[in-house]
Amino acid sequence: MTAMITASFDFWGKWRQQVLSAAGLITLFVMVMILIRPDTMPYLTAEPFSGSSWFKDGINLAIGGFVDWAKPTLRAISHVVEEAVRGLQFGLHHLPWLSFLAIVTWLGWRLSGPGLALLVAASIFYMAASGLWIKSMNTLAMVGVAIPLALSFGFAMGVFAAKSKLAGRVIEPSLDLMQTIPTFAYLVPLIVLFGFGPVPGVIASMIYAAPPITRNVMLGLQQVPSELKDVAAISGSSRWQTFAMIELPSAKKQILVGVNQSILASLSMVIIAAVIGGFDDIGREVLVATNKGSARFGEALSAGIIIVLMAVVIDRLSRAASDISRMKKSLSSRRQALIITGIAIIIGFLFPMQGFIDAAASVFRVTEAVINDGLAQFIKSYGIFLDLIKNNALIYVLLPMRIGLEQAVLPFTWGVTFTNEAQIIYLIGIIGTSCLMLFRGQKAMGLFLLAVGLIMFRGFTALPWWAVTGCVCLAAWNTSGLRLAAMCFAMMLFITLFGHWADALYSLYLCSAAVFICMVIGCPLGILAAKSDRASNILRPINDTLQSIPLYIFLIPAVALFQISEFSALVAIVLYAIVPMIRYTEHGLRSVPTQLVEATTAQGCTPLQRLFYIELPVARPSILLGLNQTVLFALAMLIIAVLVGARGLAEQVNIGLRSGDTGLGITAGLSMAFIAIMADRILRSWASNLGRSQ
Amino acid sequence: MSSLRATSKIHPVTLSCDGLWKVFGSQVEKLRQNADLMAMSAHERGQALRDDGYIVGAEDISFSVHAGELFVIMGLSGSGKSTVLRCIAQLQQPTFGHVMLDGVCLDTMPEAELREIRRRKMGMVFQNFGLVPHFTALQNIAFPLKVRGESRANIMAKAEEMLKLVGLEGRGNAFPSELSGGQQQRVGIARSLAVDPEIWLLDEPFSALDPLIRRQLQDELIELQSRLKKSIVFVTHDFSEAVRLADRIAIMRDGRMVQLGRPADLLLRPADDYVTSFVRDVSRLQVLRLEDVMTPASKAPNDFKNAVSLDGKTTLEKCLIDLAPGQKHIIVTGYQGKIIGHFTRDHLLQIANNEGEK
Repeated sequence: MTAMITASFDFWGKWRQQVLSAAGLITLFVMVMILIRPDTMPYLTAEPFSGSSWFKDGINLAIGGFVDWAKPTLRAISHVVEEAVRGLQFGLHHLPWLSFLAIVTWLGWRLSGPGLALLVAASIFYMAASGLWIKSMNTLAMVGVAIPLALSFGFAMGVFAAKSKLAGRVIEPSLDLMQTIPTFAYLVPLIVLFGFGPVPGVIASMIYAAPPITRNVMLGLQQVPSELKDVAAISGSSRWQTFAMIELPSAKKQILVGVNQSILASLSMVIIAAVIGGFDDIGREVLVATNKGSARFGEALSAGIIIVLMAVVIDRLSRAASDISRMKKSLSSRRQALIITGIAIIIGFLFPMQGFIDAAASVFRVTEAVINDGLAQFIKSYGIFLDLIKNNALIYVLLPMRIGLEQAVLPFTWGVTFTNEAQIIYLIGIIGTSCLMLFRGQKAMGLFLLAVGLIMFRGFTALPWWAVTGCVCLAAWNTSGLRLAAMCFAMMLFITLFGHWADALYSLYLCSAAVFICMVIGCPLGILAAKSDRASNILRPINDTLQSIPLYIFLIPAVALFQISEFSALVAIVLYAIVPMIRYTEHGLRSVPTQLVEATTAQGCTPLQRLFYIELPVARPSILLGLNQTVLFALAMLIIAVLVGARGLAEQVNIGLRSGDTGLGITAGLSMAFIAIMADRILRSWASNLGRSQ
Repeated sequence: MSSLRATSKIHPVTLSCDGLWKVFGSQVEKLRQNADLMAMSAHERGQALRDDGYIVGAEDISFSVHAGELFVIMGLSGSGKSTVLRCIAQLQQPTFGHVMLDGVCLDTMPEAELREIRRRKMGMVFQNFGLVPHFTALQNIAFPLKVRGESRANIMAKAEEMLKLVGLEGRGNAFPSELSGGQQQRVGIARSLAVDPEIWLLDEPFSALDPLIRRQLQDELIELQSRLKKSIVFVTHDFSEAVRLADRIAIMRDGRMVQLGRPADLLLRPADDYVTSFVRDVSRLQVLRLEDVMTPASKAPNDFKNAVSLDGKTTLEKCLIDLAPGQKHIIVTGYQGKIIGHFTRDHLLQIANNEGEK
């Protein structure tokens, strides 16, 4: 019996391998034909169902109906939320800055110590002195409403998902969607439902910031030891008693991790939501200044610093507050808190220090002007180099990737002509080399070379939809199984059906370019960090900073140096997405077992041999996970990068947002989310396969 | 077995398992509606279930625990001993059969009623202590009382009393992480006794402890039991522990009960090779009591001169001193000094010899 089962598994496994390789070969063959001579089979390369808009129309119609039906309720909710934001805003506007500074500084002192207090005081002083106090307070008012909403929503979902299997089955996959659908995509329907103003931003931030806390609540509740649940049961405690006295306190630590993440996500989202406008906040200030290009770099910088400071301060404060013992201590001194607050408010009103603030603000304005001038000077003297970088990247990397060597190689760009003979030699070279590699057993490398070579020949934009769909499904099948393959097929079909194929290709292209650059720069940096503690110590704080600041900020330096262009978008994406590549490479290399390293050294390997033959292969699963994160980060940044010149799906989402075309926004947004989900699933199962086989 | 029946007349049954089964697999709930299966004998049913790919954790287990009795279930890991205990505690629902506590059936009881029973009549000690890490020792002990909704003053008084009972006065404010393993299990014991349970369930309570501490806690358990006289179901994988503590032992293997009897019954008449393999490592002189090996008689034989009288509960090890040179005979006495039998030095030497030959 067992033998039969094993035999049938063997048969299935072999059959699967054969089908996979057969399908792979056919797909490859047709793709090669098409890429070489696209005009011979136009019906295969044309975009299918282009111009199909029934889904968009359908969504617009459905939302229209829903809005009419739900408007009174939703507007009432909107009204309540808006009142809350306005109320908080009113309070913050009328609280003298000195009082605010004193109260929060005292809080920082109580929660952590003089270090945090100093950081808080300096940050708040910066907000006041920069002349952006009102805008900062507007942002804080939104954040102040958004955070509790996001936390309670996420917490409720987490408890629900952990307690009810059915709810879990619904909630778990929706968490993926909530985090991967670009925010702009649901901002459109939110605006339609809740009207303009701060409310859609708050609601969007609630959706975006809920998943971390939900996931951590679920995780925490699942990790409660079963023996403790038995103890509760045998003591005869009711479900509620078990939950309140045993499960929740046991999960507390895990939940607090989620609280911190959610708070940061919420802040990040509130700032992104500034795109809608209508609530003169600090995010808006950055956006406007950034869009003016290098001429207002100083202004963008001083506003951007406020966002970074806010993120850092809120992060540190919430982390300190989650330290339980300290919290108890500071709660016990509630009366002291009241007294301090009272004194602070009185002092604040007695000494408004308006003159001082005005003077400081004028210093800021002068500094900004100096920075602007400096930048202008810098661009004037080094602009040639900047342009050189930009143009070279464009001509030798971006353009060939997009439209292929075939069209990109022209006498006035490359200085040579890509003659027919040269094309044939190129193709024979690529196909020959990869075939040679395939026959020598280096299957993955051979296929990779072939794919890259062909894509570079014709460009991303020429990829036919069915071939990419086939490749993605095959990859999914091979790494995970039929289920993932079916899911990928459905998602690819969705993207094509709703006429987003061309845009998806463009997004894929920009993302691939960014990921490629991240790999080329990030991997060596990671290796360096793994080999040298000094490099690691320098890189770590930089990575921390790059990861904790809201995505927005990356646009400022990119635009300042390279204006609004595709290249700026690329720079911003690379800056943000390179961090996981560095981190995971370092982590993977550092966790190679010492025994293994010593064994290879004893066998007489040079450090370089050891790196290539032992360490990198062993670290491969970890590096793959880093690649996975980098892809996801790049996709997330893509949607922000649209503000400075990216195109593709992200642009469609943005157009949907601006023109109020809900269907366009949602389908383009979902397409981006699907790409992210597919990349994530395939790369992750690949990494876990590798990890298992080692 | 006759002596058992005698005890049951004196002490009523507290807990009984009646044909208890626990089957693991998919859609186990539906098995109960399977008339064919229910009509089978226990042996056939077990075979049929295993053939269908089910895992039988406990197979047709029946026993009763009398008031004040310390009943041990002994078996190696995977034998199903903890499964039986968890079924008794209703932490797992038995697949077939019933668990009766004070004549009330636990497995068919509605949730709320069961909760009430657990709040008043059950206490359980866990292998890994099961202490709540964010509660202090005192709060841990107070937990079952708190759940019961008693007044704060009552709870604190009772918890302090329990803490004292297990010898941890003054450590009430320590968190579990600040206590040693032995101390932690003392807190676990105190917690399980806080509600003054009728049935006390101990699931390998000493297995996670060092041998010395284990021994010490076993002694303390014996001492506690001599005062509290609880009805106890004690699960262990350690045969010598079982023999030390038990009034009666049930030996389990592969979900079945292999033998049930007093420690002396197991030692003198092991049911099969499996039981023999455990018995081999136990010192008979330490376990066997005079009443187990004596020649029953209502009066001393005539040739007994200068014989000492010893209580029937005395272990053979302890009579060694009394059977010093020159002393050949012992008269065994029972309740109120009544003569119940006699014993000779030759007999003792024979048992000791057997022990040496093993």
